[in-house]
Amino acid sequence: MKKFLVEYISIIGYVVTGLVFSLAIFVLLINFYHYKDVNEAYTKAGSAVSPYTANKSKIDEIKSNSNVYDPNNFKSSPNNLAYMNIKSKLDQCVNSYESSSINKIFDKKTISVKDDYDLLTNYQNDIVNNCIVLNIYSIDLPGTSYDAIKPFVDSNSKMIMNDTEYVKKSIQNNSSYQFSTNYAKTNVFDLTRDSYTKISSSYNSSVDLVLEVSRWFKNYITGGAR
Amino acid sequence: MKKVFNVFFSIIKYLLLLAAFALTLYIILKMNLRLKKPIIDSISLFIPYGVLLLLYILNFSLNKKSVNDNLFFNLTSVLTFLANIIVCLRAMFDYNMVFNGIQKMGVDFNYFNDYLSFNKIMLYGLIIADIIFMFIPNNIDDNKNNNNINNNDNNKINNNTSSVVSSEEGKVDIEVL
Repeated sequence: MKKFLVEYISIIGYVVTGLVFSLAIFVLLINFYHYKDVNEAYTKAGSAVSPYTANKSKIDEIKSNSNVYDPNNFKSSPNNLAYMNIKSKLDQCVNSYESSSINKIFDKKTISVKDDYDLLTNYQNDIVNNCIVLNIYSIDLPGTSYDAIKPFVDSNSKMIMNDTEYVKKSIQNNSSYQFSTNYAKTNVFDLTRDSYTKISSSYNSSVDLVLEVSRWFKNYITGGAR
Repeated sequence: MKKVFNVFFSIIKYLLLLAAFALTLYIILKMNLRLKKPIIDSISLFIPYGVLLLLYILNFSLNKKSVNDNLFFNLTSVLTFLANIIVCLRAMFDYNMVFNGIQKMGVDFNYFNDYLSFNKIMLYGLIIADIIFMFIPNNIDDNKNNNNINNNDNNKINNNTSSVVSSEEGKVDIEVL
């Protein structure tokens, strides 16, 4: 009887140990695959051009449109201060695009998920906050032709402000365990590559928005649109 | 070979237990510092480490062969503490998990928190298994060996008897008085 009980107890002991063993192996394997996932880097195609370089001509056009305004020509105008204000806002945007630290990340050939997060943070600070929110969104010239394009500017500004919100959430949650397969990466969602693509696309949209506002400003100043 | 592995795992498990405990304590202290919570609230996380160390020392001092010579149990202990150490090191040094940079405390608490429930299950599982194995007496192997020896002896005696019988049967001695 005693021998039977002892053998029965040892079976229970081995079962419990076996469960702990399988859980330990599971934790080790899931960490191994998670490590591979978060260290996945996106290698850009050889012909890929940095979004800053691709938009350089548009940024130069914004600069030249802003420089059309000469304060000496509008000394007697009651709106001279408003025009100087808009020119200053456009110049501030150009400065943000040219001096932002995201240009260094755009120039990299291989992008990691950490680079994506730095790109996103700097893009939101330098471009979205400093240019779109503080400058473009705040432009107002009531009683002029700007009233016609203001709804367009406002809606596009709000879209750009919220554009990369889901990217931020998915990158911030990358420390959670998940099972990722090659199939999912190829056909569904690749965090590193898709985050970079989304931020680049949002950057292009922001440049187009500022360009539209600068074109309106040039037309207005030169007397084209009143 | 089995004995070599067993000795190796028996020694390593003590070192890994201490390392796992130290790293977990460091991370929990940092976590509580950030949340401004007293360490007493997290004391339940460290109880299994203390109980395990006590049990291992008890097994060693009582010379419990059912635990000390149990290769599977020692291997499982080593794997458990190794998983614990790897998770702690990743929480501190894997900067591709961006929460590390966001919280700016040098530790990814989000990731470590996901692991805590697995850790508790594994440690308490080891405690239960250790206690169960302690009920197995040391002389269970001696009894098994004795049973084997007795069976072998009985077989030999039967053979001798039959040979004796057969040899006796083979011989016919007639004594003439």
